[in-house]
Amino acid sequence: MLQALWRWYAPPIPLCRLRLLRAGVGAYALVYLIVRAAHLNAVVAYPASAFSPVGVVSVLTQPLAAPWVYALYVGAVLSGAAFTAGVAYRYSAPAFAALLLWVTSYRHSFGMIFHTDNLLVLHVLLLVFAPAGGGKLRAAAGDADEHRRSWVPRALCLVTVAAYLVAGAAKLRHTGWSWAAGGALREQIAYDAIRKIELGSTYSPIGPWLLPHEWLFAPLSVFALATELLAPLALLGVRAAAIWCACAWLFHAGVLALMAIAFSYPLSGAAFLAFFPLERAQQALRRRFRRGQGPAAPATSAAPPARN
Amino acid sequence: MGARERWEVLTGVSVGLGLTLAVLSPLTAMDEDSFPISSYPMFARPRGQPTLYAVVGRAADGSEVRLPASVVASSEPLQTKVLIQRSVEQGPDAMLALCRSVAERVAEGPERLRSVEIVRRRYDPIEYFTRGPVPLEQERLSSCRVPRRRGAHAKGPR
Repeated sequence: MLQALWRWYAPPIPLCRLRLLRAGVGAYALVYLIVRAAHLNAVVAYPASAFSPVGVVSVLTQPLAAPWVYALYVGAVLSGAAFTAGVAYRYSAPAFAALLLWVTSYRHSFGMIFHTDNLLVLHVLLLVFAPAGGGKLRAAAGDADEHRRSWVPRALCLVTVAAYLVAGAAKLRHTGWSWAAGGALREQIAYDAIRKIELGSTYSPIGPWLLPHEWLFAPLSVFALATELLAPLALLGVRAAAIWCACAWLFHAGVLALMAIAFSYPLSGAAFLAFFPLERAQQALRRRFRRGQGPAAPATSAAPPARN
Repeated sequence: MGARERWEVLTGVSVGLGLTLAVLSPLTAMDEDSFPISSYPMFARPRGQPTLYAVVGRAADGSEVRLPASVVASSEPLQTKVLIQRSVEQGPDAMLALCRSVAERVAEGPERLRSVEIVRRRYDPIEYFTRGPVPLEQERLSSCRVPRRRGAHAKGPR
């Protein structure tokens, strides 16, 4: 029984899957850090009175001096580039995980915790334990399956479904099953738009436009709640994972459309990569690319059949 | 099972399952939120009739002008909301300090405003959109004048 559980938890997988996973999550994190540079560094201008440290930043009693904030940010970007490229992974991976955790935690330490970064940070922390270094991302004939740390992708999946499960449970805890009736979601959408209007910010016009149509919000709420509470079903296999990931993506697309809140990690798809045999998708893409180039293009490599 | 395999199992269980259990841990205490372990309270509670705090500008003719979040505190509206709320919680001195810092930035900008105010307003969120954006109640908590820009006299009266 325990052995069967371990085989499910840590199935042998091609090494290139771990590398593809590292490259995908790392590329997202790096782009995120660069695109959000202004927001992540805006903390240097916040008043010290607003400093309310969370997580690892709780070791501080007062905000860091601006040069430290900038230096840690630059360190995160540089180590993130090395992590994504798989360079000096033994050192760059833990450094990047620690700096990403610090930079995002510090940003959340001024009174507002944004829940869009949690999964990204947890995934990068887990990828530290994968033997995912090296630049080679293509599977080749003769590649042996990886047995070391092959539990890492499964751990990423477990953490993902756990986060969604907690989010669903929070709705039941704070509101009860009546959350599914739609009233709470309707109020939330209205509240979110009002606070943005009152703060002179941009808001989604779609949410307020739908508010008079009260009947719409019950099915939307049921869908959102079901997506969160049924997240563990995604662990049943690739097909179940594909269905759940599509639902979760639609859920976030709905949040973006109705409230202009972008959970960009799941919306990019990077949050769901661990659920899938990436090397198989890579092979399919390469075959398609070759077909697009014409029949003369030779087949240069063959990956071992994907498992799991 | 060799020593290496035992180590592999121990690492996999302690790290992978340990982190999963950590993510699930808010199930036992939903009131605490942190990062990266969160109880995900967003969207979970009914909002009722929320009270919002805002920093607004007042033109010479008395009309109200909404100020962008970036002028108030931060380019992120939600962060700005929290910073305004913090200053309200900290009392009149903190509110006046925020008011004056916003007024300084307004003076540097293109808007010609007479004063800056911190206001508290309570809304019915649904009626805001179905009937009109009229607050159920409102109160001015702090107010300060926008300083005259250097050379403003050359551009005419403000």
